[in-house]
Amino acid sequence: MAPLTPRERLLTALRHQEPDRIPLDLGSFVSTIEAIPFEDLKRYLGKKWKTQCFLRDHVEVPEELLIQWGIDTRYVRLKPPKKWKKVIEPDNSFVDEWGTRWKKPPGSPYWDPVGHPLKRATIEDLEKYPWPDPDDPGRTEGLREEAKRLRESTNYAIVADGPFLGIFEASWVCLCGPEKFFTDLVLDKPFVRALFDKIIDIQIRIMKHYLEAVGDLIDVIIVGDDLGGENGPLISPAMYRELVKPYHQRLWSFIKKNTPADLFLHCCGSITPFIPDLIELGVDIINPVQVAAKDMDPKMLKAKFGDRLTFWGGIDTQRVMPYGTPDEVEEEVKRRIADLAPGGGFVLTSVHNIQPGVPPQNIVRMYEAALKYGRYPIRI
Amino acid sequence: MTRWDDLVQAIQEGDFQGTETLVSAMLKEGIAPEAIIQEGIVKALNIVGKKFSEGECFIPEMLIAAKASQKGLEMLKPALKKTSYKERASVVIATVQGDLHDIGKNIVAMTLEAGGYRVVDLGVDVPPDKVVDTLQTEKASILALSCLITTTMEAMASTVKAVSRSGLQGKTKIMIGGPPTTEEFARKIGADFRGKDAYEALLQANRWSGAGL
Repeated sequence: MAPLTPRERLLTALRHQEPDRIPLDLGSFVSTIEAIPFEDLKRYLGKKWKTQCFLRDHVEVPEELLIQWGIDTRYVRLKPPKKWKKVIEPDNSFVDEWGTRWKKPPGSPYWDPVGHPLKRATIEDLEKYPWPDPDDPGRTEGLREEAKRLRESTNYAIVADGPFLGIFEASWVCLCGPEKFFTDLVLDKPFVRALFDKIIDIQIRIMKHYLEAVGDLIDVIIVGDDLGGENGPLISPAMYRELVKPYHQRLWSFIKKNTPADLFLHCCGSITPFIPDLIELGVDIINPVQVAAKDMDPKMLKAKFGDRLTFWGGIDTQRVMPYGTPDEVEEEVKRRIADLAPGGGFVLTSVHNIQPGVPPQNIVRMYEAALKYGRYPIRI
Repeated sequence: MTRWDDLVQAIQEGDFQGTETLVSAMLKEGIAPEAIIQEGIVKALNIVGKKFSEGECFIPEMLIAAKASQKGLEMLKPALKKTSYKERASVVIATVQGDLHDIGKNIVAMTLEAGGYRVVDLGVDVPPDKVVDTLQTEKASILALSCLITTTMEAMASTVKAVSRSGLQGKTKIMIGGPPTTEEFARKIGADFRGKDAYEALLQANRWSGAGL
């Protein structure tokens, strides 16, 4: 087959057809390199690129590297609002625009939420809470121009990166903290619904501005909400359907109405029991396909859902990327290609961001192997 | 009338008020607090813990049962002081240095406490020397360590090493948990056990302390 442009390649895969080769991704808030392994990679490649981060320690991957590795995606993302400034305090913590304090303790490469502003909140407190301003013009400043430039002067697939955490994870990870939120899911459902109502109104409004800026220029839009742990779902499918799904439906149907882009859901962990619901809600692409979690065998997922879902991710970041040899990484790439690539519907990248401790040789080998074995028709 | 089934059900459902009312009524009836722990609280936790381990219930159900157990236990504490009841053993529990995650550790702490252990919870981001000091001052025979992120597994290894260097090895049994840990890792760093959830932690603590469930 004659080589396709990166955009044609991705769109073909998303239509569940086989392009010339498997599309490759690197660079979203759930598929980039973290700052620490990026420094290792720069040393290994002998490059002096400036490290530019977004969100927390998420690296904006240099264009030179994206071209070298054959990455088919390019990203646009919302900017921080004007009314909020990230201020790092002496104890190495900061408060995000939703009011959650994040801290990176000495010795840890990660920012973790430590201050949950709604830890003891009641429904009445939600009314008085200083919520972010969804209409802050800073978020979309210059965004349309960036997306237009990408659309007009390149042939990459344009992906709108995730603009906020999902409603479920924002509630338990950040705003309420796990103890309050998981308790309330059973014992105080009116609070959970009142909180979700508040968050979803803001999220839909932010999304409205985002899609007004780039909705007609993008191929894929990312949303996220982690529903799984290592050993199984975090909540029962019944609880999901009762409390969380109606809110996912509100946001995702709004997105579907306002952009032709495919809907990409980032959902970590062991999530197989939720997948039929997610498909019903219009999810086109599932990420990160956490193959090391329980009941997440890619072959089974492809057989069960491959006709309706594109799998985006799949290369194991928990065991193979940090602890494997480059040859084992190559074997992992071959295995995932064999399981997920036939018939299209597969975009290859690591399961979540490349983490501290992943040797640069393994990152390089992952993308080399993807190009080596990713030509259609697949022969592995 | 002893309503064991009602108490077991109240705990499973996270019915805090119901748990307290039933425990208080049972005490008034003259039922021994040890029996209330054994026949009510431990039994309920056993049921929920097993369901959680087998994927039949999830974090919210496990958490509310652990919390209800704690409520029941609080009601029993004054009565227990008047008996010869002794906690099965003292457990020091901590999330290791550099790691700030605590939901799993908290559920384990609550479950062990409700299961009859004295639990000293050091919180998160705990340096090895603090763990060692606390094991010594609290005369604890079990150490439970948690981590969530791969990079803090190293801190878990140094904590276990610090315990062994301090001469406490042999006197202290060490259990570890958290998603990146494995049984192989536990063996490698010299921990005695790796549990996948709170229920496994309780079963193992019971094996060590010679108590049946």
